[in-house]
Amino acid sequence: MATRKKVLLKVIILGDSSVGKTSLMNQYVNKKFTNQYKATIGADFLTKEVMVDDRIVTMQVSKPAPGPNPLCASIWDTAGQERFQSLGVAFYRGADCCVLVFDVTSPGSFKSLDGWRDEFLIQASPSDPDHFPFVVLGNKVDLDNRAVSTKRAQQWCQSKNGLPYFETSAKEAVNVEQAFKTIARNALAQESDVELYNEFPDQIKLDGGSSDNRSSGGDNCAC
Amino acid sequence: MDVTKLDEEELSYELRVRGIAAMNDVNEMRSVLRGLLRIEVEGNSLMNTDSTVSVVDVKSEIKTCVKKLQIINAMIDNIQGDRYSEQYRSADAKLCHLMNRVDKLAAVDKRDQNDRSNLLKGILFLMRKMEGMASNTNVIETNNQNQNGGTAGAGTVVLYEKTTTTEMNSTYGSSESTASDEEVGTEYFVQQGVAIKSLSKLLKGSKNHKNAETHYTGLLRIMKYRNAKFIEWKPTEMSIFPDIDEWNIVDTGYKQNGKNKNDRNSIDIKINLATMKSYKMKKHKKHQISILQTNGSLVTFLFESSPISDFVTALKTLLHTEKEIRHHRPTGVILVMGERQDSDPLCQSIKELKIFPDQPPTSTVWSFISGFQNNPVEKTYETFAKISDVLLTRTPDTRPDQEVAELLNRAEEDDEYTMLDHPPPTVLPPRPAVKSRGNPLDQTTFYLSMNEEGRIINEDYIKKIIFHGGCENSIRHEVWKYLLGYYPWNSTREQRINIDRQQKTEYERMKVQWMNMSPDQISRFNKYRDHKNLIDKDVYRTDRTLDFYAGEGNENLVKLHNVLMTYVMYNFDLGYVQGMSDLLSPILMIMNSNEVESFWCFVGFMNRVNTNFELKQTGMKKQLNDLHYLLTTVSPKLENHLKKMDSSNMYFCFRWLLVLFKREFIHSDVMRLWEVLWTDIPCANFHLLICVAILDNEKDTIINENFGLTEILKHVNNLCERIDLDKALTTAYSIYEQLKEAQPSLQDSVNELLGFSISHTETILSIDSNSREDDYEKALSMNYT
Repeated sequence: MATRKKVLLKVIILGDSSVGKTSLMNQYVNKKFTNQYKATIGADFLTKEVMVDDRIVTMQVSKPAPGPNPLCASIWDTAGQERFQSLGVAFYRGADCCVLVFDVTSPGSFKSLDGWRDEFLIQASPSDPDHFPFVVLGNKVDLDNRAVSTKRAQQWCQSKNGLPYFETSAKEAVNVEQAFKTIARNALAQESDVELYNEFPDQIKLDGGSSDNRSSGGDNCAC
Repeated sequence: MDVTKLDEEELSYELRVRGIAAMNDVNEMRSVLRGLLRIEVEGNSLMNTDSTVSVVDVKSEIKTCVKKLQIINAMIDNIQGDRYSEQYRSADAKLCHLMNRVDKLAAVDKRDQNDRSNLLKGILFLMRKMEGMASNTNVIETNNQNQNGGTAGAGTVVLYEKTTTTEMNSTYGSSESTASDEEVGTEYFVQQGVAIKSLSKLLKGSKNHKNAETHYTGLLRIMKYRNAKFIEWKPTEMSIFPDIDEWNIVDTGYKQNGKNKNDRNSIDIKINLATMKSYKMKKHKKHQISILQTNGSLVTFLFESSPISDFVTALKTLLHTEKEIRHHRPTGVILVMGERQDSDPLCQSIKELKIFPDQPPTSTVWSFISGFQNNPVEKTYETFAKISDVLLTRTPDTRPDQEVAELLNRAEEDDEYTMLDHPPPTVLPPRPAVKSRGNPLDQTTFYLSMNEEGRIINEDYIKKIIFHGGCENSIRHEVWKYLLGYYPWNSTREQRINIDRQQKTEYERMKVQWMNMSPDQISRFNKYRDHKNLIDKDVYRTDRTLDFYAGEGNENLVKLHNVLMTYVMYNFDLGYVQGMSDLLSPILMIMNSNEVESFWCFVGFMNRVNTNFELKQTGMKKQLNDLHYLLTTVSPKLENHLKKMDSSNMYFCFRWLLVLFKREFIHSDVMRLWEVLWTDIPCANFHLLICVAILDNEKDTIINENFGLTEILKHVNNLCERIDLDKALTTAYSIYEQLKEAQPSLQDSVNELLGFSISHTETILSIDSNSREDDYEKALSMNYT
């Protein structure tokens, strides 16, 4: 059996204000939803260990906040004037997957996807921008006042080299697990030569208690 | 041009200009283009000469090119391998494509022509940047071979050595630096008995830091070799030579001649004039000159008995210099603009671009570029800052050149770049004990401080009480109005009644403006709509866990909304930015849901912090920079760690500063903290000292656990509601007192931040900003004798 390596996947969630980025992240990591989230200021991230195709993976989901954030200060400024200056390129650098979120009840947030995608590519400048894994989530499908059709969203994803698209509800935990599974898998594929991740020795605990870890029992050597 | 590195859009463009319609298959396009390029190499150009045919819309083409330029710039910054690496080749291919493309831009109107020329300059700049990288990496490879005995584990010291040699080599070609060792140069200047300040010796010295000042005296020379000029310093008398790691602070200057690393006696200091960034003279017991190099290292020479002016004069004959001006005042720092020499063809072309208008930039340009290797981000900032600095002092007709810098998203305020330098560590006296927090201002004391007319007669006294102990909740409703400038401290009861009346009318007037806007009107008012949408979203998620804002249909949410909307009308340029609702929330509570009072108090608060919310983020960047400065002074160890972890931008403190700790403390503590800050005691930047105090408290965890970029962010985010406010406040005050005591030896910038008066030498230097440099020089030497 091939030696399994401990992997840290860096996932960045981007999207307009209040499309549910924090909620999605929390639903995925903590299986919780509350109506009382605050607008994120600065950047935030959570980590979770998962099994992806027989490998233990630590997902680190980062969420740079919109609004007064040097990471994404003024992408919305009129065309050609996008002079945001990043203090936080480091947060984007080394990302393995980028999740673009919009709110299916807000056409504006859907229109912004292009801008977020561009911004990510500029900031993170992945070596192969054409094939960098993006995953698109249309969130809040539990709401009645839907304004962006599935078809429209799918078309957009098609036009970008066929990005995976999920319709989610962070509130009702619809599709969140599945979406992140794809995110993890695509991110992992991105890391074709999986790098050893030694800087987080304490991140991975093989306590054998969770079902995720059981299949890998005994494989707790650092290499 | 490596066609495999081009994306679909770029490929189809390349084909289009050669008169071939785009194809669906990327690989097919690549192979066709490869064939075409081969033919072109043989001399048969297939390029469509009528370039206007291929490009339909110049404006959008320019936009595309700008975007590409940005992408390439970021790519270059991320290059990790050498020139044969994938990343390098990708960037190279893309740059080549972009060059062709910009070349074919049919710019007709003046604006477009301007954009085009800026694009070309940007491209040229990036090319230089890449060339600089390529030569650097090559040299490193050779170095590795030379040091066949060196272990990789030697860490930073070895790295420094490498970069040192690299820098010199890349500037002058690989053969010269060895040549300069053997070559007998011309002496430009010689001075015996010049000491070099060993700063880390000071740090490690006895507790009484004043006695621990150990200096090494030696021979200072300025030497001119065939291709480069160096400031050289050789020790003449020396009892103990410091350990290698102590020399990190003078890293690039430190050079070993002998092969044996333990052969300390052969160490001397060499500073290539081409890598000098600025210098500054000071008199602190002795005459001293501190030389800052482009890589951020700083060397200070102390002149025991001899006048410093001869050395400076010698420098001036070799360098083009300029005084650094900040806030229309010279800072005492002399910027090195370049060496006085030149015939290098590259410099000629740069010169034609007029990026450096006044003189041949010579090797300055190269030294910028070689610095990218060491510190790409800072280097880029610094370089562009220099460009914009030069541009700002130029005549308006050449002004558009600044857009070059903006194209690359790196334009900095002219007074910002020095903040990225690393000031020398100053040994601080021990932190004095300060008195613990006092009692809050109570009702009786507050009302007794008013005279019969209702004027507060001892404002300072009241503020002092608030600074030390905050204020009782029962009177916050009154006191905050003074602290936030709604009522002047010396206003009479009658005047305050007038203020209430006037401000109510004024508020209602502005409120009506947005309330009267019809949906139809709003549909054509994009910006307004954006603000409104954001407010709607954020009000709904502001402090909902507090009873005051809890539950559906809470009236206070409406009020929060109204005040924020009215603020949009009051200050439309700023409008609404996330974080503002956090600042308003406690005010509305304290003002018992009174919209008018809340609004004006909020305006007062915003007047203090509105730069935090600017689109260009200059305010936040400045604060993060300032914080970094203070931390460097107070806790160099932590700063060192942050630097190592790519975190010296202090970005993890963003939330603290943006909403002044609103998210870090429980509600009652937030109010106590804000009152303290609003007193402006002991200085306007006290909140930065609170940051330093909190970080200082966490420094052991951060350093011992070896936290990296993300862990630091996570750790700091998780401090939320776990910080002891009283402790943070007393520590911050104690740090303030500590710095105050160390004030004469502090960096000017730190003194300025904390509102300390600047030491006497500086005062003399800055009295007359109009004086010519010679006069200033004279004033200096007089001051020294």
